[in-house]
Amino acid sequence: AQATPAQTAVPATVTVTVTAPAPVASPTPTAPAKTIELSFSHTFPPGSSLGMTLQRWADRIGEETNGRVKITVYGGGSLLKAAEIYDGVATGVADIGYGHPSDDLGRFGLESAFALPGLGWPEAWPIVVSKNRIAREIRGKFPQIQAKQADVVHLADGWMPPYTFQSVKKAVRVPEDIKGMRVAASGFLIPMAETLGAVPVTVPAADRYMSLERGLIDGSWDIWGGIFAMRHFEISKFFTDGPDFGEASAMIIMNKKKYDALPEDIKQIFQFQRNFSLLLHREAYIPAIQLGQNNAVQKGAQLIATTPEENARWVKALQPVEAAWIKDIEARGLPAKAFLDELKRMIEQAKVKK
Amino acid sequence: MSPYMIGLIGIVVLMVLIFLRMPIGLAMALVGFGGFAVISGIEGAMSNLSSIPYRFVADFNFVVIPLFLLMGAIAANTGISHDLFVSAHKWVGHLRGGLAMATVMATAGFAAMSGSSTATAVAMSKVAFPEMKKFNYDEKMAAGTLAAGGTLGILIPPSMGFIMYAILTEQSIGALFMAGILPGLTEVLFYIVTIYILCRIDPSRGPAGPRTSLKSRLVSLKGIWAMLAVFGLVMGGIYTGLFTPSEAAAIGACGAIVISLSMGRLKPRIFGDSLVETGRTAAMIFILIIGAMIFMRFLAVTKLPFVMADVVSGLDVNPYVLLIGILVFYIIIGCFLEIFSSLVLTIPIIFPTLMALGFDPIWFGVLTVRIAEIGLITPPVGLNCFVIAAATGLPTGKVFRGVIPFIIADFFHVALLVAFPGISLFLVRMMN
Amino acid sequence: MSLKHMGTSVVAYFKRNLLPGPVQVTSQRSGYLPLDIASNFLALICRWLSLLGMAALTAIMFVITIDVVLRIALNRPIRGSIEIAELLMLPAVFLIIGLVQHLKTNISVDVLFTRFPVKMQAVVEFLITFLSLGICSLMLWQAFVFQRYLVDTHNMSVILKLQTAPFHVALVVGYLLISLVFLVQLIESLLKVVKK
Ligand code: NA
Ligand code: NA
Repeated sequence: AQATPAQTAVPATVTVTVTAPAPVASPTPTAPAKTIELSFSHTFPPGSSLGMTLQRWADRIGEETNGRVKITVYGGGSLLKAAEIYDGVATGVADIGYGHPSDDLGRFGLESAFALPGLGWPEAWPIVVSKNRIAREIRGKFPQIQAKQADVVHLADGWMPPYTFQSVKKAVRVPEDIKGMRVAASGFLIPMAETLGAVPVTVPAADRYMSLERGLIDGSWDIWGGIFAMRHFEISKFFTDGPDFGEASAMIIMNKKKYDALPEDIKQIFQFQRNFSLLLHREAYIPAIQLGQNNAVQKGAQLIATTPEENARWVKALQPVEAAWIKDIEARGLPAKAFLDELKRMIEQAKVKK
Repeated sequence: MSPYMIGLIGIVVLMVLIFLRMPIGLAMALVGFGGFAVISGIEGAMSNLSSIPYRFVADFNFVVIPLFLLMGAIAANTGISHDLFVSAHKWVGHLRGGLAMATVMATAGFAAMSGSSTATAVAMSKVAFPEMKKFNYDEKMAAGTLAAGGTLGILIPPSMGFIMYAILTEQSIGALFMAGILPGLTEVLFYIVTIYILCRIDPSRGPAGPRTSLKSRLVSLKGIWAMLAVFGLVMGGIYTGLFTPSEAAAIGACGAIVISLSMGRLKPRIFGDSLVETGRTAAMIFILIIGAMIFMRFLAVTKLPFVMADVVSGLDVNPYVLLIGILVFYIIIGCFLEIFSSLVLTIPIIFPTLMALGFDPIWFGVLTVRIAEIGLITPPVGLNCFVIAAATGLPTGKVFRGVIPFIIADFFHVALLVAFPGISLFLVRMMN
Repeated sequence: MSLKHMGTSVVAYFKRNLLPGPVQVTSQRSGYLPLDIASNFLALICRWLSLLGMAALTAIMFVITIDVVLRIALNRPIRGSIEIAELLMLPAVFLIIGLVQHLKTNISVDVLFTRFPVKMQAVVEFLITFLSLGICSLMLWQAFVFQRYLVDTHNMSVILKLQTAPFHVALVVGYLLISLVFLVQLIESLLKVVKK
């Protein structure tokens, strides 16, 4: 079976309290056996901050195992396209894969709930202690998740920073500002745009830069890492941070047969590296946010911070997105309503505990 | 056996199958499948066969291919592109190879709206090839002009090549686009000179027509509005931000239909013929693309691109020798592989080395895209040549032979870009 | 009327009544009647399916154009136009691959092949057709596997929630057709080898 919360060796809190570079009390590796070679596929530019962080995760596994495991990283979708993540890893095209639940809703539909806007997570990003724990516990409560993902093992979660809204011509403070704008959107962001009365335009990633530049689209939701990597700061003039537009989640999964065949001590090392989110924030996103914002300001852009009152208006305006999500995921034969109710209950519970 | 060895064997087997006249797309799929199975197991190899055809065809990035084909086919079959060439023939036809030169310039114009070399080659071939044939141009030279000219699609902005390089290396897309303009224009010049020399050696390649009077030249301009309207629609729409380059293909095809209908030239039979041509050519091209992707995944798991890039970037030589080594490395890789996938695998290794030696990243971007252009026309795997062969019905061997003089011109042009970084960087510096 | 005579007139009927039109399909005369019938019957199916594919292509063009026009004119694009276009690409491409191979116009390199002696050409052709049939039937099998995956996971497009499985049927049909065409061509090339 998949690594359920009960089986995981590391308590949730450790994932953030243990500093990433410190060698965790990992079992002493035994005499060097044959090197285990694994391939690791993701779809981000290898030289981007996220790409380099994923490389570092792979390298760290190598170090922790004293070179008994060697992971070759294939970035930029050179081994698997985003939508292929589950099947590609399940069948061994790649041994390990990094992606988002929304890449394959048939398999990860329930977990895609983590990215819904307005959930009001107990802590503000980049603190993700409760989030990490809730995600792990709720997976154990829904056997459908295991049933749909029987051929892979879940190695780690990654929590993306919140979405920023970028626009070229007009500043966006309140939901009404976005009305009538042409917004590049895909996945979740489409019902979001429609709910707000914006016109969603599906623009292939490669056409995005030009579309902003030539005015085909007026804005889009993106994370700063993406805004920096795709050079959108060269064009957009306004960046709205603050409203709860949702935070995408990511995951690292591994081929189950390959995982089961690993020696016990190496499995444990993989489990210790569950604190991947920490690495992700410290090394990828926090610097990328800095870089993106600095570059944008240099180009004369305005960074807009919304007030709590304005944020509350956004939560209300985005409420219908939930119903749309439930309808979509239930149509795939998954108990979306029950999952979302439980998720909200757990979030409330965590808030009360604080 | 090491994966590298298996990779090399795979390449050799692929070449043998291709020369035994196996359909290229299927040969790449077969070798890619077999090789992947040997290295990573049969289950993964099967999985590639099951998902790649779906993932790479139901993809909006590729919708432009059949639609630009359709636009070209309708323009060609209704004769509206013929009118343009009749006029061009009146104006420059008295020069040897004049029509081919005009084609290169028209291709550059098209490249200024398309981000893809394949789409550019595809769109121009349906329009220009039948016309050059009508005026008794040598098939080989005509095909070479189109295959090589089409590569301009990724050098003259907008360009998928620059966007990809920018994302891989975190450079400014805007700066790269600026940097591509002068190299693109000088490439046009090099091709025109190539055609001039080819026709000088053998005038029958591009026979000179009679010199025509100014009056008949002016009169001939009446016929060109239709084709110019189609081009204007596509280019104008992209530049004013009315639609994306991907959407422009559909608008262009529709525009060609509407304009030829209004001229009373689009008969049902002609529309049917254009569709059949388009459908068949597109199917051929997609069989090729699917095969190339399956083969690319095999080469990725052999780690051959990593090793080769490591070796080249590890050479302890004079920086310029190293740079030339890297360019040669990409030219060789480009002979066999789909160049963009190869860039994703190798740029992360090679780029830091070059930056450490103090080379300008924008300039290297121009060189990289310029080399990628060459990869599209070099045998034995040259996507643009295959596409031209598919679109014109010529044997691939003939297209490859026709493109050789242009590849030679390419080498001189790359040398020029290496020797004078200013050609690439002048406009960028002006901007800042 | 002999069986042979009847067979010949069936072939003639196909050629006369169903095959003319924009898609020209030549009958391969292998000198072996059942094979000719099979070949012509396949050609017929290839033709009709390819017409469907071309209809899909036309639809793609109109959907995108109308989407753009509505967006410009009314700021109200067609919901999900891009995913409609993406899904229609499946019939537009795969319903035609059978025809492409029937006409033997798949892209290949013939510089070396044409210099082989005739006998060797026949043998090589048999071998290559066999390998092509091999990879195409593997892909057919895997297309079935993928079809099942799409159905099992209720795979849908993002915006319109269109079921993707029905569109993928075009891919299965396409590989079935190209495999059958290769099978017929394999037997034809075998006959050529044996004859010579
Ligand atoms: Na271009
Ligand atoms: Na090549």
